[in-house]
Amino acid sequence: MSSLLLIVTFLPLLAGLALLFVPNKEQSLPTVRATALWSSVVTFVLSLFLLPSFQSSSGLQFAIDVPWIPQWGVNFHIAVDGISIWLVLLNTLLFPLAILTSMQSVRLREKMYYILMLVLEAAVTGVFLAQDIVLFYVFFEATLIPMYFLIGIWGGQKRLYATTKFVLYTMVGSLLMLGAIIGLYVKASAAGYNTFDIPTLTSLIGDGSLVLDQQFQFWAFLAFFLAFAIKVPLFPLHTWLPDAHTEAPTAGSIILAGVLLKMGTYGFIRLAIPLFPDAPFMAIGPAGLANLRSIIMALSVIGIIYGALVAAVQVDVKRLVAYSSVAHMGFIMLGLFSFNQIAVDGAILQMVNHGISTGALFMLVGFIYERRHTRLIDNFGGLAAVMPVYYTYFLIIMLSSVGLPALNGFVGEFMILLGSFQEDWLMTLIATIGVILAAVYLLFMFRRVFFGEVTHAENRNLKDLNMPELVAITPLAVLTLVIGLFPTLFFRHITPSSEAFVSDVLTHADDDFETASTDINVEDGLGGFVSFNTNGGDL
Amino acid sequence: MILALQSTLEAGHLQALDRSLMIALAPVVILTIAVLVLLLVDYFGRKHPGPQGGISLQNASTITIASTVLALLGTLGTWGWLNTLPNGPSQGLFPSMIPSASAARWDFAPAFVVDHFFLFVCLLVCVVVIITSLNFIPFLQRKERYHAELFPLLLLSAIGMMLITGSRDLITTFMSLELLSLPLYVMCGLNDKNRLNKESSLKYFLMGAFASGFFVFGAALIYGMAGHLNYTVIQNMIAETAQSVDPVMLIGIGLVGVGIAFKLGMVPFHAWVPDVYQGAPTPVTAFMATGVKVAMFAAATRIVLECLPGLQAELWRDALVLFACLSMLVGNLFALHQMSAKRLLAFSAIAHTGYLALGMVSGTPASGSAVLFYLAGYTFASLGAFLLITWMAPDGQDDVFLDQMHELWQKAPKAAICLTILLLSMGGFPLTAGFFGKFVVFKEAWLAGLSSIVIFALLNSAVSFYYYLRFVIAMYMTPAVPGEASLNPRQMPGGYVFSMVMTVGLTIILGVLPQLLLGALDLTNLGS
Repeated sequence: MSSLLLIVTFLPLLAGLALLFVPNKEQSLPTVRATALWSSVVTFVLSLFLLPSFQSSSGLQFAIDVPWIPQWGVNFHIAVDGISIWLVLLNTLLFPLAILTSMQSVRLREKMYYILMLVLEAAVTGVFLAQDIVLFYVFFEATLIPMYFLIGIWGGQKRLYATTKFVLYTMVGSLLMLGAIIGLYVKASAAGYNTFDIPTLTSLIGDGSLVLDQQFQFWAFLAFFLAFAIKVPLFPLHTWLPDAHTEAPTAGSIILAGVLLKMGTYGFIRLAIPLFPDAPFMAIGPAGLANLRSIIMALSVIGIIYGALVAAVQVDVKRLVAYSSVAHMGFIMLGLFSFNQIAVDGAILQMVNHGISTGALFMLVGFIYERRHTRLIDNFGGLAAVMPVYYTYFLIIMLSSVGLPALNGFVGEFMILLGSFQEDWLMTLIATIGVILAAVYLLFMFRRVFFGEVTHAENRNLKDLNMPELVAITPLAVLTLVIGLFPTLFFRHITPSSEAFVSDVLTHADDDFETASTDINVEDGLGGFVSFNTNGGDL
Repeated sequence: MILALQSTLEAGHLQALDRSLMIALAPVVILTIAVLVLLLVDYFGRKHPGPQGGISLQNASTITIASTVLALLGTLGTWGWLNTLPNGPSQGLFPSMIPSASAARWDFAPAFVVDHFFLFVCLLVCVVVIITSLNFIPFLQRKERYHAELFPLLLLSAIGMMLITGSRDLITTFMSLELLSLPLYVMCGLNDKNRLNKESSLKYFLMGAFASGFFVFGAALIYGMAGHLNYTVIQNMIAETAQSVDPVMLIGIGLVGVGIAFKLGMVPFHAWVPDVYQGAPTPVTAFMATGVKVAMFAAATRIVLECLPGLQAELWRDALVLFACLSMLVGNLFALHQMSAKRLLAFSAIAHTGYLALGMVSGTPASGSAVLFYLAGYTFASLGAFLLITWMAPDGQDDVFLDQMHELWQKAPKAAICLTILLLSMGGFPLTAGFFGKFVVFKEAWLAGLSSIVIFALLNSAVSFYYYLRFVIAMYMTPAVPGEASLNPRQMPGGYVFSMVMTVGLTIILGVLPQLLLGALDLTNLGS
């Protein structure tokens, strides 16, 4: 089974490299398309084989661990656990669908386009599987270049601005993370641990064998935080996202929203928090009024409200969905940093949900853009009568994004709110307003696009979804229902892995809480606003 | 070298001389013979005095490349032979000849050392010479100029580059410095029809003269205080008076440092770099940007690690760190909006000087090998990029402007991909040699306690991505405007293809499997 991980990671890359040798001619285009589509489909099918033999209780599995740079203790270590397996599956599912969508829309320099898509797929899978910090960093950065080209070559009018902004934002964050990685390595090797292995380092730090001083933890966490928060994106680091989404081609948006943003939240779970478990609880600011965790939760909540409010005034459907992403990712961050078992479970499931719902929304927006070459809400109206199938799918996906019970979005958001309410009722209360706002802007947009009279003559003869489009969107729509109705299927694998994560963090939180009155002045008199009492509510 | 040889004779190391010296200095010896052959063939081949006749370009180039390949193999042989020496591979050759401080004056015996550090630089220089000379002929033919003397000059400069890295004595260093520089001044002025070219040559010569002046004056002051020019003697001298080093000594060290900083193009002694890099014929720029940088950094690293360790750290380190930071900042900021590819790469070279200086200043045991790793990555990237510019440059122009590169990807996809990889390596992107170069250098700097400077350097490399990506934007993402002057790349000659395969291949190999080099570099650690 170990070799299966290797194949799932590198099959798309190999297919991409093979495409390099296909002549760049008109008649070879069908070969190019077929290779891209079928290699990604095969990758998905192969990745499904991970599920039956996955042991939800045994943590990391299917591991491949071979020395890569022995001088520095860098290993090529990939493995999958209950959290990453869903993200890998999400990734391998979204890519064939995105490639299928592209076949309708991409008509320019197709060979290079599909090569980049396949390379991107391999890199993202690598990010979710890597168990070595250097390997993780390499994959993390490797996702950047294909996406840069995808936006920059196949993007819209302002693509150069958008793509440069995207790369530079990400670059600043990840280079700071590189600094923290170097620092961590220097500290670890000084303590006799010449390794970059994530599970090893995590357990060394977790059980106190490797003690990092508070100041280093703080700054290193901040560097990792910046890298991942830009990727998520967390307010106020989100400004690259609407531009990137608006200018990206449809498939680029699907992948960007579907899986690339998840690399940020996943990075928090896999690296930032386990490696520097004390950092989120360190007091900062005058008189220790706040700690990083409460600041991050506050930023998430601001992001939820802000993203929803800005989405409500957008005139461009794609931009609206982009801002709704900011809000939704805010929920995930809120759930993660509440460090409550239920909320963390919800956040992890919501990562998958968001990938499906928002990916599908971008896909649907892409379908209509192909027909009308506009995305302005005002240019539509009454589409429900013209394109009934399209209308139905849009309805399902939109409701899943709103968080309607029985659909996937509800499960994730409800659990996040349920869990974080126990930690911080005030922030959760504000975040709940965001749920309502999401319903407002999505339903408002939906009404203007689909209901009423057909206001533009061009819209009268729009064709409904064709077969490839149906094939691309149906799996996502089905999944929203499956996850919504049978979430336990997913939690069966997620919970054991997330329990380890949560309990690890809470041990440190308790340690810090005990020492709070002495060396780190974390909690003083703010009542329930910033709470360490992770076991019960403080209402 | 001659002096080392002579004194070896005097010191009675006759047994050591016969074979060992020849083996130890194999690369230098082979290249020296090649220079003599080239000059003699050129001289005796002439029927009449004057520019006509003499050795043909083709023959000169063949002799140069063949001898450099031989030198490369010789270096590898010496590398292996050094490991078999009884005093261990880490010591290098000639370590036993280091005299005590009381040794007689004008004793040049310990002027030179052959160790793995030296040999690694020899390898790099050989690669640079081979790849550069492969590209001279197409370049010269296009410019309709037939300067066969270019090749002996190239080799002489390469010999200087090799010698300066093995030198352990300020006089030997100075002589190697001159041997390295003088041929380059001539090579820069090769294309005498071009105004920029003349400016480049004269500017480089004047700045070089200044640098030499500073260096010699500093060396004189050091000699006045220490009574010797040998690194070890100076190091001992400094160590003895660690707490109260004489100000004259400090001024001497400072002036030597200024001389070297000029040659490195380190801010604030960098003003010549963009003009010289832009004005010089592009293959010469490629040679200069890589060879000189490798040699001067290797020499400077040796001085830092073998001459200065006793000196109180804050005295010279703070100054050097400041210059390193300024180099990164100035290089990166000025590169942002350059339109000329050569000028842009010149500013980026200044920034790279800053990163390298950071590794050098860290002074940790492994910092020497870290600097060498970075230099290797930088050399391949820079060499490849300048050679691509040589090839792309339109007729009557010895440079490429970014707006001429529009849609280059359509016209010459392979070249565009190569340039992209090389530029990503310069930026320090993972899976290229540049990434691990930055990684090792910053790791050493962090070990030396320069963590905040490392963060500064990392932010600087984020800035540098902006201008490296400007190439990418120009090549891939900007449609060519009809009527706009844009490149029409000609067929790529075989030499270029080989160079590209070599530079891009090595960039990727070192980026994926850095341990291939790291193992070898473990032998190159300096310091006593």
